[in-house]
Amino acid sequence: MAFIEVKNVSKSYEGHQALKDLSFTIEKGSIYGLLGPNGSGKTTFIRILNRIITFDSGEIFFNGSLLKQEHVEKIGYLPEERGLYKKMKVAEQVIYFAQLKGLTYTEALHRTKKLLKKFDMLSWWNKKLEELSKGMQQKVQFLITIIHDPDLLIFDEPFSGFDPLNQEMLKHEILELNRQGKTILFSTHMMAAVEEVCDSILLINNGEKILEGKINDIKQKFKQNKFKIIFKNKETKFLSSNSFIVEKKANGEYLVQIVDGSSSHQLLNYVLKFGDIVLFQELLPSLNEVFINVVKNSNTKVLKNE
Amino acid sequence: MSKKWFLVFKREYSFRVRKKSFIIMTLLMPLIFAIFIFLPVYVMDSSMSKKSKVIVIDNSGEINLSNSDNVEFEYSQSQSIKDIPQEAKEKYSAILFIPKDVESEQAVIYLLSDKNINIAQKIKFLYQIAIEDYRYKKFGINRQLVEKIKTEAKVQVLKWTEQGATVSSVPIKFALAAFGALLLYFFIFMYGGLAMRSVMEEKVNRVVELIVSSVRPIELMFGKLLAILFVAITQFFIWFVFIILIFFASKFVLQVQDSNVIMLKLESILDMIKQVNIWFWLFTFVFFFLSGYLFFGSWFAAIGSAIDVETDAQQFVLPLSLPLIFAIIFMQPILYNPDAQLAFWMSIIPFTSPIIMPIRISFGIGDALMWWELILSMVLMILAVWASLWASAKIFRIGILLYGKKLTYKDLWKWIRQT
Repeated sequence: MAFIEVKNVSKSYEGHQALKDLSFTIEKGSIYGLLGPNGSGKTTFIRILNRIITFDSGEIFFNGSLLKQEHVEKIGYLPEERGLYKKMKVAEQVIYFAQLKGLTYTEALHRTKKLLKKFDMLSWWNKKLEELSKGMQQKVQFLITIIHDPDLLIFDEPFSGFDPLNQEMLKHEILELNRQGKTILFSTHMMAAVEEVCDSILLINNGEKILEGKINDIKQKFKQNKFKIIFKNKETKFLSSNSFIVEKKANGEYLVQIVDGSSSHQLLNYVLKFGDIVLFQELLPSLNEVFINVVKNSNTKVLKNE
Repeated sequence: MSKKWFLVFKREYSFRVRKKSFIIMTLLMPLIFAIFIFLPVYVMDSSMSKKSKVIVIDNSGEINLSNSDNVEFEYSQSQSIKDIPQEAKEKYSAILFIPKDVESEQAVIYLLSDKNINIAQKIKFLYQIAIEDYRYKKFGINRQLVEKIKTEAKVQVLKWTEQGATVSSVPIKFALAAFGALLLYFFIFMYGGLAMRSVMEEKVNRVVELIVSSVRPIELMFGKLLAILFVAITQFFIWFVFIILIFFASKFVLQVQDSNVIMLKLESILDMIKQVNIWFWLFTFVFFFLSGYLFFGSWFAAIGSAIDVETDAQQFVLPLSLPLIFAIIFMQPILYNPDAQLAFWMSIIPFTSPIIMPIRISFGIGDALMWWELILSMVLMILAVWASLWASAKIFRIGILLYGKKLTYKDLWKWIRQT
C-alpha cells in the first residue's frame, strides 16, 4: 500500500527548474532512499513534503489523501542543516517542539520524560543546549524528530555529524522504528548505509527521476553477467569459449563474462566440465557503481540535449 | 489558523522576559529615573546643611557683606592675602579680597579647596548685593523704594475657549509633546530592532527549518512580533508602576525633609498635568506605539528573515530608519508650529505619523489639530500596518529559507509580487 504517492510534481525557482514532473511511490512501512548528487532537488522535495515550500503543479498523496497542513503533525523531520535553540534547556526545548507538532503540554512532558530516560539523558533535563557536546546535541535533535510518534520519518543526511558510535545507534533506532511500522524516507550520499537499510530507492538528477525501484531489482537490472568462480583444485585450467570469456585471477579464482546471452545454468554446466568448484557467484554491481554510472549518463544526455 | 502561533508567542515571550538584559534594562530605567529625582534634592540638602566660611580682606572699608544660609563671612584685620597664616586657611573655603576702590578695581575670590565649586558663585552673588547696597547709600537712594518700583507687573496668561478663560497649559503640553515623540522614536527603534534580531538568530542557528516544518512562516512571524510587543508592554507596565511609586515616595521624602520649593514644583507639575486630557493622550500614545511598532517591526522582521549575515542588515535598516530619523529632526520646528503645512503632512503620512501625530495631539484638538486630521492619520496608519504585514509576510516566507545569497531590493520586490 502506498503511503506517499507523488504524481507529476514540478517546482521551479526563478531561472531553474528544481523538480521536473516527478512521480514515484513510497510503500507503507518501507525504508525509502532518496539519492542524488548535490543540487539534484532532494532537499526541495523534502521541503515540499514538509509543506515548508509549495510546488507548482502535480499532486502528492499522504496516506491516501491529498497532502494538507495537518499532515505535518504526522511527519518527523531531521533536516540536513541542524540547529536548535542554544540558550534553551533540553527538556523545555523537546517539549516545545513536541507541542509544535500538535501534542498537548501534558502529553509532551510525559513523552519527554520517557524518551530522555530511554536514552539515558535524564540528567540533561535542565541543561542548556550549548552546554552539551555536539554529539549530544544531535541526539536531542533526534529525539525531537521522533517524539510525536510520526508515521513518516524524514532523515536528510542523517549520518553527517554523528560519530561512528552514534551512527550505529541511529541506524539501530531507525530500523527499530521501521519494525514498529513507520515509513522512513532517507536522503543521503552514503551508499553503504543505503544498501544496508533501504528497501527501495529513487535516484534523481537535475530534478528528474532517473532510476527507481527495489534495490535488488536495480542491481539485477544493472548486472553485467559477470560471475566469480573458485575451483577446489587451485591448479585447474579453465578456458574461454564462444559464450564465456574467462579472466584468470590468483589461487584458482576466475572471473567469467557471459557474452552471448547464455544463462547462468549453461555457464554452470560448462564450468563443471573443468572440475569441482567451491564458489559460483554472480557479481552484482554495488549501488555506488550504479549511482556513478547512471548520473554520468544522465549528465551527458543533458549536455547533448542542450 | 491553528493555535501554533500562540506556542511561538509563548516561547518567545518567556525567553525574552527571562533574559538578563531585559531584567537589567527594566530595573535600571526606574533607578535612573529615581536618581534624577532624588539626587538633586540630596545634593541641595547636603550643601545647605554645611556652612562655608569665607575670610574677607576689605581694603575699602565700605562694603558690608551679609551672611547667607550657607556662607559666613569673617572680616580679617589683614590688608593683604599674604598676611593670613597658613593654618587659618584650613578652616575656610575661600578668601574674598576687596580692593580700595571697588568701582575701578576688581575684587578677587581665592578658592582654598575644590570641594565646593558653587562657593564662588555664591560669594559673587552676595558681593553683588553688598556693592549695590554701597551704591544706594552713596547716591542716597532708598533701596526699599527701588524694589517696590521694580516689582513685576501683574499679568496673567489665559487661554480663551468656548467654555471661558482657563490657565494656559502650553509648557506642560510642550514637554509632553517632546517627551512623547522621543519615547516613541526610541521604542519603535528598540523593539523593531529586537524583532529583526530575534528572527535572524533563528535563521542563523538553523533552527528555523525545523520550526517551519511544523508552523507556517506567517504564524512564526506574527507569533514573534506579538511576543516582542508584549515584552514591550510588560516593560512599560513595570516602569509605570515604578514611576508612580517613585513619585509618591519622592513626595513623602520631600515632605519629611521639608524642601518646600521642590514640593511646590511637583505640585505644580501635577496641577499642570490635570489641565491636559492625559487619558486621551495616553490612548493615542499607545495607539501610535502599537501601529508604529507593527508597521516598522514587520519590515524589520522581514529584513531579519532575508539576510543571514548581520553586516548585510545595515543597507536595509538605514532606509527603513530614515523616516524615523527625519521625523525626529523635524520635531523641534513642529513643536513650535504644530499647525504648519509640514506638520500636517508628516502627521498624515504613515512613515512619520507615529511620531509627529502625537506631538500635535499633545497641543490639544480643535486648535492646532482637527478631529478629521487625527482620524485620517489613524485610518491611514491602520491601512499601512495591514499592508506592511501582508508584504513583509511574503518576504518572510521566502527569505527565511534562503542562505548565502546577497540580497537586493529587486529580490524583495519580486517576492512581494509572488503569490
